[in-house]
Formats: sequence, C-alpha cells, structure tokens
Amino acid sequence: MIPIGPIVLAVALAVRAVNARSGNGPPAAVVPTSRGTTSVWSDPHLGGTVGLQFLLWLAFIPAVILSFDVNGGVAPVAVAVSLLLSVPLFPWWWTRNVFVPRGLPRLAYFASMLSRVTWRRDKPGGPLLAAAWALSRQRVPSAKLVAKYEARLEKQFDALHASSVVAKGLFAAMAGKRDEARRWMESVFLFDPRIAIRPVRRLATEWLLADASARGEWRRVVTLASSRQAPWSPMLALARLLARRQLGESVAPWRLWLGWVAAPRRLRTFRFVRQTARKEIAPKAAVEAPVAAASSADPLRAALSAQWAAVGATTPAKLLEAARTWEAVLADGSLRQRCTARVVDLGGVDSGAAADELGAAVRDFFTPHAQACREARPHEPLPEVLSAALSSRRDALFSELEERMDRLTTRKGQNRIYPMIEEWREVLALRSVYLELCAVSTFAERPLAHGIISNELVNYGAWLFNQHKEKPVANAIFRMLELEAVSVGDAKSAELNRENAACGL
Amino acid sequence: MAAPLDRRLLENPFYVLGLTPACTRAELERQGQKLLSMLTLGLQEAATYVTPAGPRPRTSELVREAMAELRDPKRRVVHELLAALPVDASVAQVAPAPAADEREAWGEAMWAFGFAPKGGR
Repeated sequence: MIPIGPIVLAVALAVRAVNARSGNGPPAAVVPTSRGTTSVWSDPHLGGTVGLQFLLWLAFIPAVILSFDVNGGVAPVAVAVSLLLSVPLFPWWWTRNVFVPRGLPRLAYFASMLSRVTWRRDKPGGPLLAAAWALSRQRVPSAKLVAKYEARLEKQFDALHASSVVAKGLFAAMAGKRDEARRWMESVFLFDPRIAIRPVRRLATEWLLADASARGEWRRVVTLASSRQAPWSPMLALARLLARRQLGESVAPWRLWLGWVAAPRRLRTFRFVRQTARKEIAPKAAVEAPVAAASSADPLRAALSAQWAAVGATTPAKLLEAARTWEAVLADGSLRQRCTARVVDLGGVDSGAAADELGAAVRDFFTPHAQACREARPHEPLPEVLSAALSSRRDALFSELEERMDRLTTRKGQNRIYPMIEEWREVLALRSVYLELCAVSTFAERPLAHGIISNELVNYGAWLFNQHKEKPVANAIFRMLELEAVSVGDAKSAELNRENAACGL
Repeated sequence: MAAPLDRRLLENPFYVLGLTPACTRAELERQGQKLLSMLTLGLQEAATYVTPAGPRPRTSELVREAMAELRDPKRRVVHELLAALPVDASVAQVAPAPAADEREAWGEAMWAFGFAPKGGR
C-alpha cells in the first residue's frame, strides 16, 4: 500500500521551504490583514483546504471500514484511529457536541483552530468564541483561563470579527454583566453576514432568546425569532412557539410538543414546555383597558394610589394615569407651603427643598418611561411631568452625543487606537445614545442628531479601514450610516456610505 | 444621590417602622430600637413589614436607614407625603419580583439554551 498522505505532506512542506528561501513565501513580519473574503472562491487558501480534507477522507474511510470486521466485532485500533481522524475532519462538530458541553475550553480552542471550513477565515475569533462558550459551561469558570482568553481577544492582531464580539459577550455574562453581554450580542447583527457567519449569528440569537425568555419578554422573543438575520434553528422555532402561547396567541399544545421533539436539549426544556402547554392562556386584549381614575378626593392620595399601581406594573396606561395625578399635585401651590410649615414644625428650616425633592423624584421616575407612554398614546397630549422628562432627556442626550463624537474625533486626529474590541464598544455606546435620541425626538429633529454623527463617523470609519485595516468594523459603520441617512432623507450621505460599504471587507 | 421614587415607596421609613406620619421623634426612636432588638433575636413578627403592595422583608439595615431618614426634618416631610396612603389601601396587586428569583430564572434559561451549567449563575 502506497502511503499517499505522508508523500503529499512531504511535498507540501518541501514547496513551502523552497518558497520561503526564494522570498516568494509569506513576509517575515506579520501585517494586519482583514480575514473577510467576499466569497469562497476569492479565498487564497481554498486549494489547501480542499486538498487537506481530501487526504483526511482518504485515511478516514478505510479506517471506518476496518473498524468493523466481518464477524460482527470491532477492531479497537481502527476505531481509535477513526475517532482521532474525525477530530480534524469535523472539528466544529466535536467542539459543539463534546468539548463545549463538557466545559473543556482548551480542547474547544484547539479543535476550532483545526477548523478549515467553519472558522477558516476567522482565527483566533472562532476558537476564542468556542473557548468562551466552553468556559461558560463550567460551574465556576476558571479565572486563569478567562483572563488568558480575554487578553488574547484584546491583543489579537487581525481585524475584529463578530465571533470575537460573541466571545466578549459570553465573558461579560460570566462576570454577571448581563446588560453589557446583551449589548455585545445585539451588535453582532450590525456586521455583514459574511463576517457574522451563520454559527456566530445562531449563537448570538440563541443567547438573546434565552435572556429575553428569562426576563419574560415574550414580545421580544417573537421579534428576535422572526428576524430575517436570525438563522433558523429548532431551538429558535421552539422559543417562538412558547413565546406566542405566552402572549395569548392560539398555539395548540401539540405544536409545542412537536417543536420540543425537534429541538435539542429536550430534558432541559421539558419542564418549561409542559408548564406552558398546561397553562390556561387568556385571549389577548385588543387594547389595554384604561385604568379607572382614582376616586379619592385628596389629589396626593390619588397620585400615590396611581403611583403604587404603576410601580406594580409599569404599563403605559398606568404610568399615564399616575403622571396625570402627579401633575395635579405638583402644580398645586399649597404643597410647597404645606411642606415648609411642616419642616418648621419639626424644627428645621425649609425653603421649598422638600417639595422640590418630591418633584425631582417624580420626574426621575417617569424619565425612562416617557417615550413608551408617548408611543402608546401618540395623539394625546402628554402630562407635563412626562413632557418635561422627555425634554430634559433630549437635551442631555444631545450633549452626550456631541461629547462622545468629539472624543472619537480627537483620538482619530491623534491616531490613537484602543484594542479593537474597545473601539467597537465606543461605537456601540455612540450608536445607543444616537438611537435613544432619535426615539425621544420628533421626526423633524432627527436630521439634527444625524448631522452630529454623519460626517465625523464616516471619517472615523475611513480611518479604521485605511490605516488600521479594520475592514469589518468600518463596513458595519458605513452600513449603519447608510441606513440612517436613508431614514432622514440625506441622499448624498446615503450614496457616500453605500460606496464605502462596497469597498470590501 | 437620592433614592428613586419606587424605592422610596416600597421602603418608606414609616412603613418599615410600622408607624404613621403623625408619630413623634420619641416614638420613632422607641419603635426603631424595639424592632432592632426583635430582629437580633430573630422574632418572626418583626421579619416583615406591610406596604400597600403587600408584605416585604424587614432587615436591621432597613430599620437603621429608616430611623436616620426620619431624623432629618426635610427628608421626613418627603417621606410623610409618600406615606399618605394607608398600608391597607391594597392598590397594587403585583410587587416587583425579588432579585433572587430573577437570577434563578436567568440561570435556568441560560442552562436550557446551553450557555450555563445546571444551577449556575
């Protein structure tokens, strides 16, 4: 039998050695490169990948055949060789089904490093994601390994990909920073799908589904599971069915059970599926029932009564009712006099501080809910408490957006770059402020907010693209800006960003 | 930084101490000391306090904070206004979920989706 494998390997090594000596090989110093190739055919290493897979298959198939002898027994050596060969042949399968569930981060990392298909163009991002996922399955994640892989994530030389962002999200979740983890996972969908490849988007989607389910945000589960960017998976289908039933839609229990059979991790989800299938679901109300006005004659008692109801369940109807009753209390001039007199009675000196403190506490409570109330009743005038809260929030957001944009521009001017994952954090923080500002602004005010970021952020993206070869992140910024430009009707900016986004990954 | 309104309502010093806004300074000191002693001895009757949203757990820290808040006349007046509703008003049906349950639900969902070990985080 001619040993084909070793011969081909020896020839490949000899060619590489000759190339290196003649100066045709890879340069000695590593240069920053973007790993995003636009298609499989533009990948320079495709020939190597196909060749290696072919050789492995050549050895694997005979080993599997030799594993079973004609008498019905098994040959242990051949079985061991088959298993060993299957690791470089199917590294991602081994990682997902063996190393991650067993909480083996080192093996998950190295097996993913062997991947020539799933993570061919995404190293060390893909292997880091696998290691973070395996660490998240440990009862107490090894602090040493977390620190090691986090450091590797920050110091990676190649361009940042979505896989590293998911890894960062998993590390944040392990540290108990759920809000931060959610932001990282959500940001995966800003990358081009060729960069945020299917396994990455699937992991991010499933993590977000788990998070939303835990918080009982069923509407969000349905939205996430129905998103075009979320790759279909049996777990996603099951989560959507469960959420729709929780929301009162008519989902027959047999459909839930069918979804459960099709989904993985059946033992884990059994209890929840059974509970949801048995649960009597009330048909969903078309419109939220208006809250009855408090009957108390005392405005303060009426306000407190409505406020307690709003604290119990922060629905727009209850919040609006509470805001209206507070408006009556805070507008009453006698409240200030009453407070001052009472403070003096108690032996203090007051110049209206108590009434002001109450007013500020009420406004602070309503600030985060003001936009939801406006969306719930778009045609009704908002109570003063809510419109004041909206207005002050808008002013604060304008200042914050300008400040953040200035900081980014100054850093760009000094050509000072953070580790790329931190740069991405800065971009996300800026985007989050911008989106909130758009949400609390009127349609006419949106171009103002867009004007603050449009030019500067394009320049920042171009800086990342040209000087630092961070093409995936730059591309995500251009695509984000193009969408915003279209929504505010800025055709010139939309065109510029479309052209920039087409420059490559 | 001042506490948010929902916390001011749920942990109103008058509700925590089981007193009415008309109580005197001496009454509040007496009641505070009494509750602290009861909590030290682990007496069940001092373990919870009543609010319009139902009973909530009472701790020594809460009692001490409540006493400190009511000693300042300006702060006391704000708490008096917010305690104008009697505890038996029963206006809110649902009290906010305790943090421990939330953590447990999160850990369980993450486990079901394969992102955490059983009973973890």
